[in-house]
Amino acid sequence: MNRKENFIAGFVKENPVFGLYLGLCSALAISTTLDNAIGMGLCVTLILTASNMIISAIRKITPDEIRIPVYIVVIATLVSAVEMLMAAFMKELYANLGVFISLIVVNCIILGRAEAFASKNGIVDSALDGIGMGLGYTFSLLLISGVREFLATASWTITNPFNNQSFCTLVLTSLNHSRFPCSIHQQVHF
Amino acid sequence: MNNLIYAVIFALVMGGMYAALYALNHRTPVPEGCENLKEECEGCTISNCGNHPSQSKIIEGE
Amino acid sequence: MADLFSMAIAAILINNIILTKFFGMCPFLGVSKKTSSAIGMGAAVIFVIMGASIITYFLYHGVLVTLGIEYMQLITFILVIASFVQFTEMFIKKFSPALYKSLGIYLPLITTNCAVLYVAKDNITQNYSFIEMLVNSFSVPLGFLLVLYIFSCMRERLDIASTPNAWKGNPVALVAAALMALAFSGFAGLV
Repeated sequence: MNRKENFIAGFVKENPVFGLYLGLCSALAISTTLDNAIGMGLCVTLILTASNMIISAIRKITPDEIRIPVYIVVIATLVSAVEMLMAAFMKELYANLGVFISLIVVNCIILGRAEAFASKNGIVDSALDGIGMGLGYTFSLLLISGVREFLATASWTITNPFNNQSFCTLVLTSLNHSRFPCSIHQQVHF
Repeated sequence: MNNLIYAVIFALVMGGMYAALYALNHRTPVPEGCENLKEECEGCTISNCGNHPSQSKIIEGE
Repeated sequence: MADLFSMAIAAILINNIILTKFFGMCPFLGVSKKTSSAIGMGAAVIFVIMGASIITYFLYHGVLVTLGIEYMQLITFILVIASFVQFTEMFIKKFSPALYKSLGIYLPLITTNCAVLYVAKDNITQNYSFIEMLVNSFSVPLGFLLVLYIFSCMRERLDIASTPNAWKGNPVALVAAALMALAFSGFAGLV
């Protein structure tokens, strides 16, 4: 029950962006399209979960005095690995997100959770906390980018990051030029 | 292959340097009159800042 | 020379790091409640960005490229920044307690300030020469200090204004920041 509450809290009450004001830099800069939001959100979730698990696994053998340097090395290594994987397999998304992938290293959410949660709890709890917080971050990115993409292009598009083909597009078009809006065209390709 | 060895050695040197500096810094005594900087900090309303009281609450609470 | 000057103006006003690139939002919202703390934070950021940029520039071109391990860039840079911050803190603790009293609290926060890492990476990706790198890594944090100072003045005024309950604190500050970004977009055609 307690685990479930922790998980839910990451979404609403302790939402990293809207509740704690963590990770605002990347949240504002890349939330222009849904694709960016999903890509960035899932990256952060992956790195946060992995770093939480590793830090929780080594929490008993980490000397207390130098724990922050250890956390920074672990996080930087994970981010470098994810960055290289993305450059290899998701070229478009990598180009769109640009420097913000490497700036995940200094994202306050990850170091904050490592220090506040993972260094004191077991591996399973830390992993759940990472997934909850990461999905909370993804959720808030989706909210912001949904509004921003719709205002900019009057459509929502979701693209497969591996081959850059769109899954589905939702376009708002005006049939009669004097009235607005008239219909929503939906194109779904699978 | 050589590159890999260089990379590992380089990372170890950098990490060791940071760890040493971090430990040294935390052993250096805080000058007089600065002991309560965190408690006296009023610059912040936003919980993001590591000095904000709510941060220590989160850490203690869990 | 003219190139360097226009580069500096562009970095301070047109491509301001906070208002157009959204780096360093955390201290922008966190440390802007009082003008004194805004100036302290801005000065500390200028110092750390200058120092860390010079060190990472030489490390990248001197060591990483020579050994062919450019992929270690991110780990190297974050460790250099973190070590530099620790070293600076230790140094001023020992030799200048007065400076420590005013800056000490901001220094540890700079490690996780994305502006520092961004400037260090930008100097490499833009292929700047040494002089250009110096100008860039001085003018970018100067733009940071400028915006942080203006914003803290606005917030001191907002504190005594009567705002509706739902807008108190962060919401009205974010709206003020948005208006400020709008005003800064007027500089766009300057250079």
